[in-house]
Amino acid sequence: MTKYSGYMGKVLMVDLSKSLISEYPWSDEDRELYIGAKAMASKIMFDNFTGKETAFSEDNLIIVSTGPLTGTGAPCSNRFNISTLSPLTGITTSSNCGGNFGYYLKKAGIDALVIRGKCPVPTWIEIKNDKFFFHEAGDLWGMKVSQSQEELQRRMNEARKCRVKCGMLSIGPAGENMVKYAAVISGERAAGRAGVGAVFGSKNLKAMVATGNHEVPVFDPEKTTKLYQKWTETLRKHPLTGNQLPKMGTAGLVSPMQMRGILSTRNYAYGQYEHFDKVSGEVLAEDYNIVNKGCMSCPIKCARTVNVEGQEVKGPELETLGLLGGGIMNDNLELILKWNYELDELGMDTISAASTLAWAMEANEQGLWKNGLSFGKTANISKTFENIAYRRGIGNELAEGSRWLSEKYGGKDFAIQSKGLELAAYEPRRSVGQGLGYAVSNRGGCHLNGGYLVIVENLGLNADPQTPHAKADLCMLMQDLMESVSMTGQCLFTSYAVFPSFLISKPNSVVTKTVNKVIPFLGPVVRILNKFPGIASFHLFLLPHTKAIEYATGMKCNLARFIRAGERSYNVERAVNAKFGVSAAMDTLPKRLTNVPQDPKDPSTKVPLEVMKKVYYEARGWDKNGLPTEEKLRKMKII
Amino acid sequence: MVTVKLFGTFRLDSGIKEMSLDVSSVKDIFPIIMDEVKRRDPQTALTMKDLKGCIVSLNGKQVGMKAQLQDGDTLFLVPAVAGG
Repeated sequence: MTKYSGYMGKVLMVDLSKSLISEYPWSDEDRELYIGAKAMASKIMFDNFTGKETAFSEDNLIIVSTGPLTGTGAPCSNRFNISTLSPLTGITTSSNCGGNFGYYLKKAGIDALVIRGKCPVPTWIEIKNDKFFFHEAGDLWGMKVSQSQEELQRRMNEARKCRVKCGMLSIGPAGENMVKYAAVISGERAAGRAGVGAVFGSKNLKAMVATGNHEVPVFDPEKTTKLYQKWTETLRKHPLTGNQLPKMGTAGLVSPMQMRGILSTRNYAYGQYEHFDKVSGEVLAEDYNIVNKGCMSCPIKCARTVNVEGQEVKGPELETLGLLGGGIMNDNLELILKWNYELDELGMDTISAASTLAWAMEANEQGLWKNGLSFGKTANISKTFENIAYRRGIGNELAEGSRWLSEKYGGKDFAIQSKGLELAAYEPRRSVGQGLGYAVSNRGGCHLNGGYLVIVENLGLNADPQTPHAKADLCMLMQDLMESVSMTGQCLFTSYAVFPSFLISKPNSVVTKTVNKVIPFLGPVVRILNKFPGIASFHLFLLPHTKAIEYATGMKCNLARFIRAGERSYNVERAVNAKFGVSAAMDTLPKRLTNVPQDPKDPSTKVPLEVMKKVYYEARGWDKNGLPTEEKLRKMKII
Repeated sequence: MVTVKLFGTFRLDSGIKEMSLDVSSVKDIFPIIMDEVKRRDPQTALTMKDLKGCIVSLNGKQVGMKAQLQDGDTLFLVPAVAGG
């Protein structure tokens, strides 16, 4: 139970080994400190993990959690989070998903599930108004994702003799075969990164379905509705969320990334791809997009729908276009649409799959591992993805990811990963703050968990992308803010309005140019805000999340509390990782990015990582080993 | 002749992907492109401000309005965007 609205007041422990459900203790004080979604999952992991667990051991947890704004009608608020120990990295991971499962979990009266143990046989779980039914899934095992979800919907309908509204998540063959970067898919949206699907597979958990008729309580419905209406209007008017993202989705970034020299090309050897305009968001929009789609309650609708072999399916995101385009020297967009669909159906992360493939192509080229894969050779890629999912032939080794492969065959310098997680499509040698983010990110080489400084350095704004100045402090601030937005249950795109429209739409104006010039000198100012967020004890018009929390839940919130909650989330996640051996020594990038200039004539075009890391740890108040001290954890009320 | 390739929402809204222009400076391309936009759609909501909001890249490197052009050059016009 909880005194706060927005929550259903129920966090449940699901013991798969015994098919037992029990209440997981989660207090209102916990809600005040961790809000929800990813942050609450990190605290639960911190409280339960000793450091001896492994991804595939029965004592690993899967935490499926929602935020307090999910189901309240807030724009872009029906996201949910899956956290667990990753088989790809051996440390924590969190995968945020726009599918409908989170919304229906709350309709079933539940805020979060803490799943442990292992089902004795393949199983799917039905949750109906907080009642749990464990069904054998032997006949679903082996099904690809859409077939599995269609079959589950059919069974739900048949049992109730009507079309049942429900949320689902399912793994595909890749998860069943414990491919280290297998995804969990909800509808057409993926909880993609770092192998959450493989952990489902290791626990014999094929799928979950949630349904119910609970209403999510709202503290002040009148104020909440007004705020949400205004917020939606703001998002619709903003050049990013109201124009670029609806028209081109994230795919619209291919061209500007090419201009800035940050489009991963040939396994990150270069930052520009000669044929980028054949695999761009523009061509996708002009020749292939059928209709825009969005997650529930989303006014942006950034998803693409394309035709693949006669079916209307989800189109690729920027990462997939970049990494399966220039990343492997492929200029055939239709093939990318097809591969994207195949990877979703197999239940596999497109980023790690593409990046591992690129590494293997280069390893083959260098004679380290003869595997038949080559840059520009596309005929065997579909088959290779299938072989990975079913762990056949070379697919069995590719299923382990690029870090594992480079440890076995050599080629660590060009295994484009950090802490085992392959990087996204943003080449950081011309976006050094993004490079810092990739390296220090808690879940490994993640562009979002890393703070997404590329938006300040290259896309949106254009603050000197080669200077390390102010990047560490900005990285921390952005990381914390993104943590905070995630814990509400909302999409990170809701925070883009924080960048005033004119800075985005008028990059050549005197004001924008001045802002870009000033940013590298703002380090000390940002440091003060990071250190004393209490000075921001107000609401910021451009970040309506704080008012939304107050109006929807009744919990006190302002910018200061919001930033502090984000910082707490980042620290507790780091503290979990510390139990599994993470330290400064693991905050690294491959030598290609730190030692080899992207432009041989310009030595500044590499990531000056060590300089920025030192400042970053200072900004965070961590020790020289890059870890939060006991004093820090006490100050943050984590212990 | 100089090849000008357009990208981003300006391209989607105007329907212009590429033009070949006989110009000697970057600043000369804008009125010609706007004329073409208006010729295609006299009611267009696109303005010179939208066009000048683009980043201009010449043979792979970002340049300003005063940059000089040579026969065979390729210019890219890309609106500043974000959100991945």
